[in-house]
Amino acid sequence: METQESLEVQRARCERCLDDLRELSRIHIEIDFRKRRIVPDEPDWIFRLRKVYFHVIAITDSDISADGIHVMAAELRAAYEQMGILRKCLPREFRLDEEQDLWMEEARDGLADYTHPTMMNVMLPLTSGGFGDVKVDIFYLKTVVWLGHLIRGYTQALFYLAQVEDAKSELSSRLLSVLGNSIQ
Amino acid sequence: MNSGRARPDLAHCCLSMSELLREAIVMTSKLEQRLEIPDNWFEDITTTNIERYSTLGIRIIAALLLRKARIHTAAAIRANKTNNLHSLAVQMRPVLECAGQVVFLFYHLVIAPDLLMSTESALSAFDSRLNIDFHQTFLKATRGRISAEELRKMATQVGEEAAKAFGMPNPKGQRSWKLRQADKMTTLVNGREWYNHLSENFCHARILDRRGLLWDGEIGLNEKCQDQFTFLIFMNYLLEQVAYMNSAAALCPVEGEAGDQSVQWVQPALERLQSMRESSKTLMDAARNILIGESDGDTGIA
Repeated sequence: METQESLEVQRARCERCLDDLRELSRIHIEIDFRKRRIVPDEPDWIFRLRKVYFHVIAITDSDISADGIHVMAAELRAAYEQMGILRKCLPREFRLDEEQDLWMEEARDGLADYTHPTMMNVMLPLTSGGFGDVKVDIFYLKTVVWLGHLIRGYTQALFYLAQVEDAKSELSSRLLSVLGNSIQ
Repeated sequence: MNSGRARPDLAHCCLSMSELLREAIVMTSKLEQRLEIPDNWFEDITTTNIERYSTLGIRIIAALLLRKARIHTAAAIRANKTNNLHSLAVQMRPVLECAGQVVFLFYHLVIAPDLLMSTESALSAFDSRLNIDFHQTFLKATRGRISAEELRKMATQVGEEAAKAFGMPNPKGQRSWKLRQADKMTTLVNGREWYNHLSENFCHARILDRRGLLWDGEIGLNEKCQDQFTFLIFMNYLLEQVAYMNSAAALCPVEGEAGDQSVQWVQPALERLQSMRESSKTLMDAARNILIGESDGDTGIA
């Protein structure tokens, strides 16, 4: 019974992460509402952040399920790779030192297992990129960690975008609220 | 002003292409069910020694690759619906990797032996791929707890046992233990090129492909047309490969199956492949004409 409750709590946590990402995507549109042209003088990182947005939208459309994690991981991996580059464009106060290698390492390790299927790899446990041996608790934990990192990194980048675009202070308080949820 | 002439636009072409793709994965799903892998397949492969050439082993591999392809194709269809080119691109790549491997599997096990090459050569090529796959997968999964040398020895030993079970001579020494991701798609037309394009422009961070990154509703007509045409090109290639994968998977032998496998599965899959090719070609031709019309300033208003 205890395990069952715990799994429900873990699942609810995953769902809350998706809600936070939905909120961040809404805030993103409100901050970066300008029409941008594909020209060299538009900052690269703003387009990279838009790319993260599109992957976030796809993540929030995914299910928290054994099949859903395959879809989600492909989007997470692409978003993580963008975050790895993006963070270098952010001023020091908008990034954490300890995440320097996190994005690329995770993109090329745990998340990559879901994006390069092979005849052997599909037979591995679910938590290693395959379809076998579904350990639900580990699966929920990994999902929360992956989503949590993305929420934090995306929020930090949006804080900087809000500063650059001189966005309304109300948006910053909404960002703070999401960051608060993520830390919890 | 408007002549009332019904004229398809690119959005309709995208929708129709999406519908064709949906039909293709319905077929994928039927093929998966046909392979009838047991619910506890994972325990079976870990607790019992499935001979590598037994049809159960092959059926498990094929069914899981089909499942993986189906899941990501469904996500690609969703990406198309939500105008999310970047999601479409990252979901496409694993589908193509699965399709390339399903084709590889049945080319070497069913099509090629005695027809395009000797049975021995075909099985040897399959065995070699499986050895490399085993070696690379478990090297990564065990994170150095088992040495590369030890894994190679295990793979060679399993290969020899499998050959013995089939009365075949020992496989020749493994020439290479390296399989690049793009190699999995060499069985598909332009597979390697597509793999590289999707990887460099969409899946990884090195190049930022800005197509599809303009917010909806704020972009020029011409850009919008080109974006939609990009969707169509992607969906068209994806459809072709999923249908091709289905026709290869239909060749999978299933013991005890009632009826003629060729009549029940292979011929219908080939017919679908042919009809999908025709339908998608018609759609692409229509889309090209629309795009040319738009670039020439033809608004379609008579």
